[in-house]
Amino acid sequence: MKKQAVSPQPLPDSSTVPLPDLNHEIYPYDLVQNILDQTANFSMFAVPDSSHSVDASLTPENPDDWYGLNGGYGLDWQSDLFRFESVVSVDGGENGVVVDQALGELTGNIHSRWFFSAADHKWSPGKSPSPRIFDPWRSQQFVMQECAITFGDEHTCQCYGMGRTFPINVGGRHVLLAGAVANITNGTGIFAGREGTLVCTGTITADLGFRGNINLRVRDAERTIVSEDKLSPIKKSSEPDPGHTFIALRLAKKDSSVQTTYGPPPGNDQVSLITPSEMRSVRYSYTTGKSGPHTQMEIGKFLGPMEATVFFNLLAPPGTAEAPASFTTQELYTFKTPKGEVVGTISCGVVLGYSFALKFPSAPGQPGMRFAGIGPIQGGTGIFAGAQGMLTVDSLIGISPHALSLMHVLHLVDPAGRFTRVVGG
Amino acid sequence: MKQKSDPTLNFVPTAGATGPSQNASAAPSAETIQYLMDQAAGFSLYANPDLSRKDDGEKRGFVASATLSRFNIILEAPTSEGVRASNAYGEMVGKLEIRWFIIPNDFVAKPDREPPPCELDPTISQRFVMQEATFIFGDGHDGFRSFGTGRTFPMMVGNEARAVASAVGNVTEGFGKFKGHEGNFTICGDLQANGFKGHILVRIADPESELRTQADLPPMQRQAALDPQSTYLLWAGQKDKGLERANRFSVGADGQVRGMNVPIRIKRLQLDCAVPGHFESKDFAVGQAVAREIGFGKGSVDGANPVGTALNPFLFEGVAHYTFHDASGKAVGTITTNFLEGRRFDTKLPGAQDAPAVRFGFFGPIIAGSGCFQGIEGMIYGSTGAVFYPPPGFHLITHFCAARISDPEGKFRGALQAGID
Repeated sequence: MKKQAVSPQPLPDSSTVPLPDLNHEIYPYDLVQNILDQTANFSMFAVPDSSHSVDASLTPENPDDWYGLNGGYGLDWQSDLFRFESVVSVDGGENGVVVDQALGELTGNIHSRWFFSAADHKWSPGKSPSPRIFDPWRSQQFVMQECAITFGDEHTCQCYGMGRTFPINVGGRHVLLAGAVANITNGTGIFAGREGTLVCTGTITADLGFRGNINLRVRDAERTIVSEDKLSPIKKSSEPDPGHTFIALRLAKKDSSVQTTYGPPPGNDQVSLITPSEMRSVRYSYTTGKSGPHTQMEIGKFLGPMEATVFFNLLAPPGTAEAPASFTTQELYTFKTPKGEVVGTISCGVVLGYSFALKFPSAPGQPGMRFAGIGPIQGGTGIFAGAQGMLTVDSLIGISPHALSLMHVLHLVDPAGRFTRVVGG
Repeated sequence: MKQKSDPTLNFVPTAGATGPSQNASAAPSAETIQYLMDQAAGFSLYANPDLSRKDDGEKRGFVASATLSRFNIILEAPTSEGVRASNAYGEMVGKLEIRWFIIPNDFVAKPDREPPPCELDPTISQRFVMQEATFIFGDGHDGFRSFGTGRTFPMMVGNEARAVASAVGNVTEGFGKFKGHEGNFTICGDLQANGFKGHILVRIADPESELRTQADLPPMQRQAALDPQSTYLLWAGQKDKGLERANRFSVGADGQVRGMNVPIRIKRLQLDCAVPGHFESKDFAVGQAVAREIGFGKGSVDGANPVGTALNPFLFEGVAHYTFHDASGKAVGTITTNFLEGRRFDTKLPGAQDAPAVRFGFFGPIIAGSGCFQGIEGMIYGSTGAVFYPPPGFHLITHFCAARISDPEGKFRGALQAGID
């Protein structure tokens, strides 16, 4: 593909500010891609901690205030965190797509407190939302007021974030999916002073727990977490989550010739970016040994193209931990066999997304951002016809050049286990 | 005492004062007010679609007829083995004519406002309006017309996917023995193509004792269970006479009142009615304490007018946590329920005109359970009379409250009993 410059265009509101050329290379594309990929990626699976009481209080500092009854105006949950690997392949066989899911060693735990909020409640760390009662049959926004991940005694990180529930119906059964986006606000051990973003997708369980995939992506330019050595293979402990398939994906542009273009302006001072990329299978591995947590990413086979249209306000100030910039997307994932035959597509989009400006010490003046988002799967074709579930994105991008380092998960509700092959099971 | 914040947060009706203190010697005592408030007929009915009814050509909504059966629910005293209740389905006592419609989420329902077309989608939760619900007892002389709104909740009951429906209805006009009576009811059952099937929990103010009798009602003529996959529990909620009686404001980190903490004692309850000729309800009976309820409630709409009328009831919501205990006081199971919809109607108590009396209905899904209730699915709903003075004033209440639990294995179903004594 030939490289094409995007001509500056006027903003949709007739402003005189021209749209920037995102494909322009302030630094060489390959250098920026390499910097963006300098992250430690933790692919984890949360299983509710049975010792955590369903009667936990949302207001532990005042347990006699029954506003804090768990399940009323929020959820207080705790889960064990397990190493989780999910490697997808497209074989063109009967199933078309097969996902090898493996739940590995217990590595830590997560404790979080969610408070339901009005749909227009803005990201505001430290500020409690006005009370909204938990209604499992309605899609609701929530504030991840507190979230602490612990690996052993030494390595912890605290996060603040926002999320949303998505009620769905699976064969007549009511299932409540939940996804969230969070930003690291504090850390100890290897997480001290780190920038990072967390996303999760899973289900709210009958005992008010959270069960599902949690991905944490932490910048690691010094490569003190990312391991050069092969990590120990995963030791399967149990089936992750019967009825749910998590397709982990690595997405990036094929090379610097792939251009990002502006799409039709959606209005409200927003612009749209059409961003093509290619999907690959990936193995995100991590261990938590005596030397602390280490991660590794093995990129696998090409699976097909993904085209995303990203909607955001180009004039909004760069996102910060206190006030990230918001975005939404519309995405189409096309899965192909090695012979190029399409086996199915999935349509989905981010409905709750936040971005944070990045600076790169090794490339001063190079703009970039890390961002994360969640949204529902809207449908599918081929083997994915009737698909239900969630999308999470946990990513870094450069701006001029528009290089991509995307960590996506397609969470498919898969009651028959059609796509899942349990590793070691 | 001055209220700390918007009174609409606190269930407090417009007459809100701290208690009948201005002229204490003339004001009725709490015990008297409780007595006056409890001059009400409470009864349970079970509605079952009348399959013999002919289609009248109305294709929109749910326009149907149901038979109304006497339905007695007796909660056993909990034991270490759990909580059970007998569900006795009795003879037909009347019929229910309905004209109900699914409505958009933002539709403001009124008795004189026909809703726009909207189809039932059994896979999602939807609002519906009971545009007309006419209860006709016996030979048709006694009964009442009503209006109300509610919601559907897609749930599995046993292995069946059902559109569980719950709603609060208000009596708009009584006839026969019900003429001139105020009251409300709450339904919980299934919305089906041929209408509504389920429980109706009714509370009608009856200051002159026109609807009630202290005499024995005719023995129930039992019939087979109309919903063997579900078990219904029934209880009364009343204030303790001890310290647990007091409500407290819930105050947020910003110092603002966000709602009210309400403790309530849960007791066994017996309701019954029959139609030997005219409608008759047995005086309700409250028995031993079986559980403690702690809850938080608030107005559903910030800044809403605190007045609750028939056409514009005050909307409230809240969370309640029930801890059931055995005779020794040991907890055997807990239930957490979110009352997503409550409708409060301000009223007057004959004999205590200045008391801020209210009657209300409410419903919501069970959110979680533990102990013998671990993993349960269902709804809790009720019809209530109360007198609220804001804290530190007193609060008097008598809930008629029920739970509908998916129970295909009969874990919560007890042997049939005649009463709570």
